[in-house]
Amino acid sequence: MHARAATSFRSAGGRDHHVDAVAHPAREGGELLFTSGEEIAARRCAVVEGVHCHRIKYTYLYNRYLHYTAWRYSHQHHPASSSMPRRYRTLNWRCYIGDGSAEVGRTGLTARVANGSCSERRRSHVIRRPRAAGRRTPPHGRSPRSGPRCRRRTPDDPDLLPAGLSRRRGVAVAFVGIGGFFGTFARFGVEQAWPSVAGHLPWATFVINVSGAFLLGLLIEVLIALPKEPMLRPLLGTGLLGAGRPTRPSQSRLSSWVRAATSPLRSNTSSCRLRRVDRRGVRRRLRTVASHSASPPEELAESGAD
Amino acid sequence: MVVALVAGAFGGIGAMGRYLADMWVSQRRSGEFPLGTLLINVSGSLLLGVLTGLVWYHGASGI
Repeated sequence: MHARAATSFRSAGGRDHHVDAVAHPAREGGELLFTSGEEIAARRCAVVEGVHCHRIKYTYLYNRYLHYTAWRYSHQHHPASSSMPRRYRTLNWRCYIGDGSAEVGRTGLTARVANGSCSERRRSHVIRRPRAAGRRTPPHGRSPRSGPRCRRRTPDDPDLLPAGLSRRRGVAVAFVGIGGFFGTFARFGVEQAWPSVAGHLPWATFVINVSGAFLLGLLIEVLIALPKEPMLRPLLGTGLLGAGRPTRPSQSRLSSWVRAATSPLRSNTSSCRLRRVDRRGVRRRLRTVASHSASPPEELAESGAD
Repeated sequence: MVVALVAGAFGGIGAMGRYLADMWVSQRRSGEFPLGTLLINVSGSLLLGVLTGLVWYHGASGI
């Protein structure tokens, strides 16, 4: 499952460039291949910026591909917070190439010209509404109406379903109930078989709680590694182990960490910077990793953002 | 055995209730902090304490 798009564009310097872009929504990342790319890469590689994503992700350039990863989490003070389910908006991110003349996002690739003319504009898998030419709205001041239109996918995780009753939510609740039945049954059995002595620590309860916490942590790690099986966590985690479910942001951040740590390409990065940018009263954390670019890519986040 | 099955059934009901309550809270309060989990745990501890006290001091029949 990925969106592939290609575009040619003329950069501000008058050069023609061809870019192949692949966006992997499932991996929250993508690749860009610059066919004419040396000068673009040398000039300023790119900065990944989530449109509604206030957590900045990794970018790194490797073999003329730009890899990037987005946090799927947005700041709660976003202006559009009240009108859209928060977690849907965060799935939309984009990447700016060079001087902002092209961008790729989860929904495909659009070519956009900052200071020159666009020789070709092609979209594939683009669901976003075309933007009016020349109109540049800041990404954080976007009103809900003029915002990018994403098709709402039904999320795999039942915790992320929109509010209200739905069939999937009912299934999730049923799984929780089944897991809760067996969990309580097993716990009761252990407590009966290993009764606590008055005046002593209730060892059965202690062992059950500690092992349950351990198993819950193990389960989360296993679920991250496994292919997506959305009902396993309600069944085993919330139900059987009976613990509070971990919130989604922490889990996705954890999985991002896992991916970042296990990605072989990440080891090629030579510099890692952490910088905070305060813009429009929203504190944003910029973490940019660029192995080949000498110029600071953070500046592009300011100039390349539409 | 029957007692264990009854306990399991109520455990299932409780798990569903906890899940729904957590969902209900977290859909209204969208922060990074797991407020729903906190509320569930605190209220569950309170109710468990009240119930245990009732059983111990007011003669409600224990198991």
